[in-house]
Amino acid sequence: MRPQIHTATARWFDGAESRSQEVRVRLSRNHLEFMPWPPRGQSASSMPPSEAELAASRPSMPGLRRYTRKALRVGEWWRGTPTPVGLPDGGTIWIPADSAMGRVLGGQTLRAQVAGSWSLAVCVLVVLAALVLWFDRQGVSLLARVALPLIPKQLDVAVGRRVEEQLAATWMRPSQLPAQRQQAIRARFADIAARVFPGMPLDVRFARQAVRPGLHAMGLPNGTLVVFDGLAEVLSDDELMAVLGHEAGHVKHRHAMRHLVQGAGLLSLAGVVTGDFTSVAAGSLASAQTLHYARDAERESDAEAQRLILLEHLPNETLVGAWIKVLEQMRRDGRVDSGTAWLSTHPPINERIDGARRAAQNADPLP
Amino acid sequence: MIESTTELTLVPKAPRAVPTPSAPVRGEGPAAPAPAPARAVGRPSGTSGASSAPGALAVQRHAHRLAFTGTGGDYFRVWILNTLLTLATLGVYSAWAKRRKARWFARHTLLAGEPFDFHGDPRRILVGRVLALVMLVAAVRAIDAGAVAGLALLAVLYAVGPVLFASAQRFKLSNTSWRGLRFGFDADAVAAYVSCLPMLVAWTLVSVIGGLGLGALVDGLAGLALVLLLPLAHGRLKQFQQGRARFGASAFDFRFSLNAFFGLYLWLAAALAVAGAVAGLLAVGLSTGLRQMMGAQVAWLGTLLPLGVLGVVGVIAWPVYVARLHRLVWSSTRLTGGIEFVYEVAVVELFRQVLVGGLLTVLTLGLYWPFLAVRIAKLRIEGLTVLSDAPIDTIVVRAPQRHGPGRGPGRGPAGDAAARGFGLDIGW
Repeated sequence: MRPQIHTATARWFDGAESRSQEVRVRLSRNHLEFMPWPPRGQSASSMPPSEAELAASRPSMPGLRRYTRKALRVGEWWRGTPTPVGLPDGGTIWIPADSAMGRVLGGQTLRAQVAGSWSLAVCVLVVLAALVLWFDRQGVSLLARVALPLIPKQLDVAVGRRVEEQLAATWMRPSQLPAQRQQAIRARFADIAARVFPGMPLDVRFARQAVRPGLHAMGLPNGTLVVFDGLAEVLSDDELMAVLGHEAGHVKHRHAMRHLVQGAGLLSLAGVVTGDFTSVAAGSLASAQTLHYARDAERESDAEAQRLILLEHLPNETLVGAWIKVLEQMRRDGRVDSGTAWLSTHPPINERIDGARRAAQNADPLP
Repeated sequence: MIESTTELTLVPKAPRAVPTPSAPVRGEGPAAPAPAPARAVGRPSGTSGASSAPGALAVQRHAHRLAFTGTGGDYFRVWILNTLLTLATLGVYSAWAKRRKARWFARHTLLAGEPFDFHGDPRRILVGRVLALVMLVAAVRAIDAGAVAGLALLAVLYAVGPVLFASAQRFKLSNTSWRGLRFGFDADAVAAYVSCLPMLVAWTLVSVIGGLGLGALVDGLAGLALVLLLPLAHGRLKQFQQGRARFGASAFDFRFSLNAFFGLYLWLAAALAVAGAVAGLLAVGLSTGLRQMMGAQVAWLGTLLPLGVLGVVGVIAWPVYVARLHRLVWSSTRLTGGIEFVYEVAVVELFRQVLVGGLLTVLTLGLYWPFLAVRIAKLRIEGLTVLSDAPIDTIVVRAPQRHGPGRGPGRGPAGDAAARGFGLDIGW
């Protein structure tokens, strides 16, 4: 490759004061050299030295400075702006925007090339979109799965206990379910849980909802499974076991913690993409997306309920029956999902019934 | 030879009909380069006492407005790679991205045709971010862990907060240059503590007293104290930020006026009231409309609505606040050699950009953000005019010479190295 030599008239600041000096710069393969121009004491009207003159008269040039290119700190080249070249002695040379020298010095990196070309920028955009999509579909879950084991289980318990205390204070009233039935359900589930969820500290708690009673149960991260009276009154014992299996699935897969981790991951993802200013918009997008993960978690827990049904040889259609009862109750209350699935924390109940039915039909008796 | 086509050098001749020095242009109108002359003539430095006499007005002031030459398209191509690399490295590259962004904006900002530049070391930015993250996690844990840990957190904040704040200022300024000279920030720990104390007390009022739940009366008193304290605290911080800054060896000076900061907060309160009213009306209208359309399935409204209200309030109140704050701060700031500043930004235009640009950003899933960032930066940067007795490019400023004992050779960037050693970029 033939060594390219570039010359330009540039501005030099010595770093000691704000005065600028016009200089003639010459860039060769390994060196950058410059001298004040027009030279002091000479008439300002003389032409800048040609490349040949510069090369020939180097020893006699007054005020000539010479630096190796390795020692320079060159700013990135951007179209239409001068390129700063930091000198090892603290000075700066600003190569004018229209000179090819700026591009030669600071335009060779990939990022400078992307900054100077729309086609490259569009390529980057496509890669970015693919990466964001991947993060959304898999990456965030993957990260959460990696991060989850790093979070001590004690945190689950602490968070769960706190939530339970708050719920007990605000949302829960003492259950009115006969103590005998409570005892029976507790004992049966303890027996089942020992086989289906070995080693998990699960505890069933009964309560009545203070407002808007409905068919609800919940699994808190500390292992407390709350059954509300409405549900216990409507469901059979078998169905209750399936629902408790579903709630225990939430605890087993640490859905609450995963939800927190994924939420944080999504927020930062959205923050990176949309910039700090639109964090409000980013927040809304992220929360809509967390709901999607929440629905995935429900499906995962339904699978746990099916596992319990299989292991315990309950009738295959147990979970189907439970969901149908919930659906009927929701119809009575006039709260049936209609087309807003992506804004809901739970999958549409019809879909869950179908899923449970499919699982029931495919169920093979366990060996 | 570097020539900027956008350079704007106004040399105002004293207009015959400038009545008094106290008649600055109330320029909420179009972003005109006009605000400078009236003020320029109105405040001839070094002619105290006689300034109202017509003869004194003949002092010529040179006005240089900052120019911003970057375009949204250019910045988009810088931003898109920054974003990709930040995401691909799970945030580690964000420190390098921040430097690149700061450089891009600095090098497209021209004063008298000469660009600024930014030199921050990304490794320091990274350390600062890790530190900020650690502190955030510690804070969350402390809040979770109860009163003793909360008090410990407060103690830590009191102990290191001012130092970190000063450190961030130093990092920002000593890594910014113009005409080959670095800006700088000279503040010892004592000054940092004294200046930050009112803000720390204000923060304590909010977090501790508000969090203890001592009843409505105590909360109300704390709120009142906060309202009275906040302008003072904010003003002291700005005084610290501006008054301790320097360019080369020339020091900045900040004249603090408590009344002016109370005025600023009155403006802010008015803007917030208007914004709150608009947001409230929108929220009520939207939520009843949606409830009728979609029935009872609007539980999600409860989570999205507060965010929306916050967004509306931000869009309306932020431009007013920014314009007023910078106007106040810059009119109180001087630089050695009789150099003064005037800041006028068109609030309506800023509001329009934020509103339209914000919507476009949401609609384009963030892709419009770089364009909006450039538009806002242009408006904000070009709001600043520098006034000087001589053309600014003829004023020679020197690098600081041996600034205190043991600071190494006082020339150029090397002389700043010791000071820069403490600089850490905190936060985002």
